Amino acid sequence: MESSSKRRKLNNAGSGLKHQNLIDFQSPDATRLSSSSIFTLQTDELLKSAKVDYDKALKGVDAQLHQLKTIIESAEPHDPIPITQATATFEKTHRITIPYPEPRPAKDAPYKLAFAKPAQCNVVGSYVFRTMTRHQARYCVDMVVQMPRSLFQDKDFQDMRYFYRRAYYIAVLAATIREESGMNVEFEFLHDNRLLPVLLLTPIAEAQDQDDANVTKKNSKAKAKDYAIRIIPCAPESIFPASKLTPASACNRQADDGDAKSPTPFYNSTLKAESTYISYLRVLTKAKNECPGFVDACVLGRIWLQQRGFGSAIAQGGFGHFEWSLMVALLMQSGGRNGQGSLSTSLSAMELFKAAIQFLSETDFNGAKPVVLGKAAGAADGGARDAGPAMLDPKTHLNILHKATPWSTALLHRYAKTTTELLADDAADKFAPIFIVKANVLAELYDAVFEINSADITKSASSDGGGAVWANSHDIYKVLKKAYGPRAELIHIQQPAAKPWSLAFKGSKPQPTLVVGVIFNGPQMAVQLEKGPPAEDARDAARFRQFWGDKAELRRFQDGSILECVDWSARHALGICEEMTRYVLARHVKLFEAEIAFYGDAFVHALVDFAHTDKAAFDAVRRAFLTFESDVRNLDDLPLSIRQIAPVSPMARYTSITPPLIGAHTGRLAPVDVNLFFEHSTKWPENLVAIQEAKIEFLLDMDRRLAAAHDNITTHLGRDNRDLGDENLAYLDVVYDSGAAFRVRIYCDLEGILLDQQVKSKHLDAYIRNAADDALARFRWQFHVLPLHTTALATACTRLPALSPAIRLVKQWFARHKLASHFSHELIELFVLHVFLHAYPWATPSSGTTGFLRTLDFLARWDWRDEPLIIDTAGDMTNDERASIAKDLAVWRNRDPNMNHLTLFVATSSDHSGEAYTRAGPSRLIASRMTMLAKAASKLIKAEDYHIDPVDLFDTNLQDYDVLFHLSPKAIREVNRAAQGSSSASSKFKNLDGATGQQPLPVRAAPVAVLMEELQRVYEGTLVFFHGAAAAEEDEDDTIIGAIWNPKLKRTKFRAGLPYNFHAVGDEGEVEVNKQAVLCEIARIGGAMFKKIEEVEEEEEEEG
Amino acid sequence: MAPQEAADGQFAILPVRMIGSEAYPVETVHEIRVRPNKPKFPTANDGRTLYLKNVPADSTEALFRELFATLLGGQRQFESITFENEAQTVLAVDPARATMIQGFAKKRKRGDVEAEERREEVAAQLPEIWTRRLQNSGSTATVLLVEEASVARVLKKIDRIHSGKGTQPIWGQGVDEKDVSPLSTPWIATHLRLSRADKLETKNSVHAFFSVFNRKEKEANELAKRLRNEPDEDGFVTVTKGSRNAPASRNEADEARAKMLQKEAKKKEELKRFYRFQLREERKREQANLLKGFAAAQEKVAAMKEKRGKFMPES
Repeated sequence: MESSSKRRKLNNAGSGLKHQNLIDFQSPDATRLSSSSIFTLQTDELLKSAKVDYDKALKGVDAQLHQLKTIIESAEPHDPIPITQATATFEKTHRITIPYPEPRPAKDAPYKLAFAKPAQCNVVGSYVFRTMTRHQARYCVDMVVQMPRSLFQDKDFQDMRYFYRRAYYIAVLAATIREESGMNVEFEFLHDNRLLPVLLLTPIAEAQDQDDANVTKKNSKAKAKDYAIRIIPCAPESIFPASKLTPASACNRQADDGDAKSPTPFYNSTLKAESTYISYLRVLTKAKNECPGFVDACVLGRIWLQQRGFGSAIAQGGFGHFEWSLMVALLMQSGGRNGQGSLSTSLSAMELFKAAIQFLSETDFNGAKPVVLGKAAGAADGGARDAGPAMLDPKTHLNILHKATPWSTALLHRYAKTTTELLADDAADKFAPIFIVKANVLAELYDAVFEINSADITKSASSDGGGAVWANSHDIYKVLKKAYGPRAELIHIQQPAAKPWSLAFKGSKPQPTLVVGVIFNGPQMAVQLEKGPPAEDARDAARFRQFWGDKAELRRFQDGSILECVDWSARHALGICEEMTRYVLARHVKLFEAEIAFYGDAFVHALVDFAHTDKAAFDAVRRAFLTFESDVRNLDDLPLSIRQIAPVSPMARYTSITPPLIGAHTGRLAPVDVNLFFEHSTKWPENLVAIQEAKIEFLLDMDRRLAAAHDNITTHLGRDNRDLGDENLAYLDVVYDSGAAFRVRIYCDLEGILLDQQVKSKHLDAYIRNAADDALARFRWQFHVLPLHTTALATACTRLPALSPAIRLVKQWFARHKLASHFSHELIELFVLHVFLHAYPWATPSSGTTGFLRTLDFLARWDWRDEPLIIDTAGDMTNDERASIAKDLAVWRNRDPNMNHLTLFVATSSDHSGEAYTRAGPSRLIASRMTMLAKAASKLIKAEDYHIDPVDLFDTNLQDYDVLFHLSPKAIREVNRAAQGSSSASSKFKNLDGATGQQPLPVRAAPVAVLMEELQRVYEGTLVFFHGAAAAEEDEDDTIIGAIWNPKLKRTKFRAGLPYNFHAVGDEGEVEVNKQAVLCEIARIGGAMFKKIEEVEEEEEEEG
Repeated sequence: MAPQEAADGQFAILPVRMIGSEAYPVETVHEIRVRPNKPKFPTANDGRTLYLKNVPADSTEALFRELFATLLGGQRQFESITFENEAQTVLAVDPARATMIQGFAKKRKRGDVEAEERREEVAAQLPEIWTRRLQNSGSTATVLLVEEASVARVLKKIDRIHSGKGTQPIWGQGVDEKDVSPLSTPWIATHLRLSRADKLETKNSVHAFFSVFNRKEKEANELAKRLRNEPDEDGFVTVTKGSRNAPASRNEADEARAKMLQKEAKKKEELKRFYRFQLREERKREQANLLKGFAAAQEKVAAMKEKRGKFMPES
């Protein structure tokens, strides 16, 4: 037995909310093939579907390439001419502006330009390797044209001279090709690198009208995909010595007037990369020939990167398909033992993919030492390293990541890490998050997104070739990083992408827009007081003051320490982030108010009243509950001893939309539901009704004792609305003078046993058994599921600080779409919890907004017909258990294909049956509506991304309903007042009203809820009501109840058993719902509660 | 609309005009279906009972009394009405033992004792928390009239209405407001007030309940005792359980059972991988499972393939 307990301990240690550890080869599940084999099969299917049919899609490209080669080789060579003269003549004759990089060559530049036949033309890239996928935005065929060595001089690595020559070369090629090829010819920057203009050739669209041809590129996505051919000039191999181009060398002295020699790593790496095309073509070809899985691994990598918004272009993070394949190929070449590769060539595509992801997730490209592919880290030659991320090819000494930035590699690293975690997580579905889900929706990814829009960022004195935007983004990044410190996990700056431009113009100016995304580090961002170094530490303090300027102040703390501090006036995370950002950017980068635009704070203000005191309010409830618990436990000689007192209300688990305000004069008491469990006893009578009566007796007894022991307590006995006496009949409201209120219900285990007996009894009629079954489900819900759920959620909310706001937002969303009456609080909480526990492809959300948006995304994606929702709250579910739950669902669907009984199948670790949460609804109609709304919302989020106005997501369309019931707030207030006590006592004037200032009495439920409860019972089969507030709550803004006629009610032959209000139509004895009579009845029942009952005019299409 | 014949269990249609209200100013006609009552198990009063289908949700006895008064021209014809939700079965409140014993012997009681007990049982009811109950939409009711002739007169009157000779009755017209407790806001407010139960009243009713319950239990015990000692007419003695000795607590029983199961499991575990054939079989089973898992995976992928877009990376 000892060993088993040990095992349990081990299991628990590894479980929990997150799987931080990597693939656990020791776990028994790791060897099980079931989950991994399906992943492999799915991947195979993906590879099959991603394959491009080259004969069809890229028909005739080969011929075109041949033609191009001939054209290029036929270009007329000429001898060196001075650069100024050459430029002038060329531009005049061909009307092509030579795409010289900025700054353009000086007028008095002494060197000469020539043109000669290229040394070789070669097709490279994904076209040759057949690694294109059908999901690419466009097919791009790359052709490199190697410029002959004769054109260059030894000193050309300096002062952009190489790039001027290259620009001239490409301009000449452009002129030739434009004349002879019959294709659209444009310039483009290769991978947004402003040093490298290339030619972009697109076939002229066959469509006749001229307009269409001009916007081919834009339309290409919508219509049949077009392809493009890029002509890329490159340098001959090893034309410049590597020693001249180390990261520390300063090669571009033009701008600096020669004095300050600041190193130009980007310039150097770009230049180095120019001469590597052909050698890398060889590397990749070798890898392809040696390793059969290489090509597919590259395709998988391409899809993975693409879904995360990564690409070779600077705007896309500088790590794309080419870098991926090169990394894999280089890892296969060397780095292992005995000169072997660190990856074996016999690995399959999937294994290579996993290994590459693992490599990315383990490697820190921004570390002090550059990462050298295929060598142990640190073995690099002792040269200086680039300022940014570094991944060196040991042979060429090229930094493959020279286009990447510290933030893009950090993001890449983060993605790789979550993917590794996902691969190690047996429970999760791997395929969709890794390859299908679009992960780079900024609003879903970042907790805060802002745009910097300023012409200043396109101006800079940097000499390092990357351009002004590149340099400025780095500055901004540094400032922000320092300002946020531990508050942010990740800061990401998206640089604008460069567009192609036509030959006659100068290169397009970069867009002056940066999009910055911040991922908060848990609750850190909400800390209001930033504490700096102590005042004694003069140097650090000075630095702190220098950075924060006037904002820094000296403060003395309770423990006697005197620290430099910065105090922020905003009260929540996003506000503080904004305040901080605006301040430091204005101070250090001179970006001001209007140039920075923050998005998404309506999520914080408009929809739910979030306040920084919320957490304290919820905590106060928990504390009040502890007081109550000890008060009850300390009662002397209760007839039975107490086993447990468990709260079961959303207020006690941080999840109610409005935080509970104890003692605030809201005019209403909101009692916290509490279950009281007694120790097992044989003294309960063996009859359900008698048990309920005995419970009342217990409550009264407890009431007497509580009142005797405490004089700060008032109590009220309340009655549940039950017709029959076999379920809980009464509760006790315990109200403290402080305003805390609790609603106690008593648990009796015999009740469950008796109901169970009834369900299983063969002597009883079926309808009695069914009723007992329902009663048993309600009993289990109240006394088994709810307490466990409350504990689990309260724990999760304290562990994941963003969970509580996310749940509240999602609940508000359900409420605004009037679905709250069909989805229990607990069910909604599980949806959000699931998104937090299985956040893939992202990491766990760190703000309410991202949690909310991702929950909508999940709801839109969830195919509840076939997929169970399994939430492993305790972290102890095995694969077998999951499989059996999935099987249960299949059985359910087989038995009830129309889903009349159970629509959503939600299982948790404490309830494997899958029906505890959803037995009482939502119905299929409601669930479909939820999915429909979530899909619409998700589409909107994808389309607008961070520009989205959150209010739009919460705006519901009243045209969807058949009938609208407008409530009268005045009548509701009246009922509330009347329900408080004797109706005559209340006065119109508050100061005359005896009740003012006194504590309100607890009521069973809100008036509207009472009315809806009755209407729902009476018109069960006739109308489906949609109301924003769940039972027992009140939302004063929500004064409209929507309803639709039950779509199943059709005109039918009269039967005596029809369960709705009907009238005769036609002569055939047919009947249908008497809609007007029903509404008339409801108007009589509701009376003054309804201001208006409105039948919605049907539009062309009826909503089903 | 052709008037329905009221013969052969056919329903006649009784149209009732509904006057609109402020919130919904539409005047409509509600149709109640009426026929002579023919229950499965006939009773003495069937001849003067009408069966109603599709009564309005806000029906009360007073409203129907007035409705039939307009139909029959006088209130004295109408005796009572029973709604569907009132006819529900009353829950068994007998102690478990009493239910069991009742099967063996019927107890006989004097009339006055029975009346006393009935009174006690009424006192045991918890106070009502609704001033008025709503009928489910489209539900039924039975109306008891004073004499059998009234049934025919009602149906005839309905015929007259259809042929245009009579006027359609108006729902709620002429009803004294004192007889019908109001719906709408006062109804909800009163309900909420009543839900906050009076402790003393509730306590009394709980005590009354338990005095009934205990009495029944006592009676059942005595009956059981008697039955134990008396052979029935065939000479058999009924076996009933003796006086209940406090049984071992359920917890203890559960624990003992769990212990036993554990022991068994341990025994089984020890012999599990003992013989070579067992190992062989286990390996075989594992292999079969693998194959099965693979087949299931293939099936799932095929199912995914059928749905569009499952293998399409989103853009």
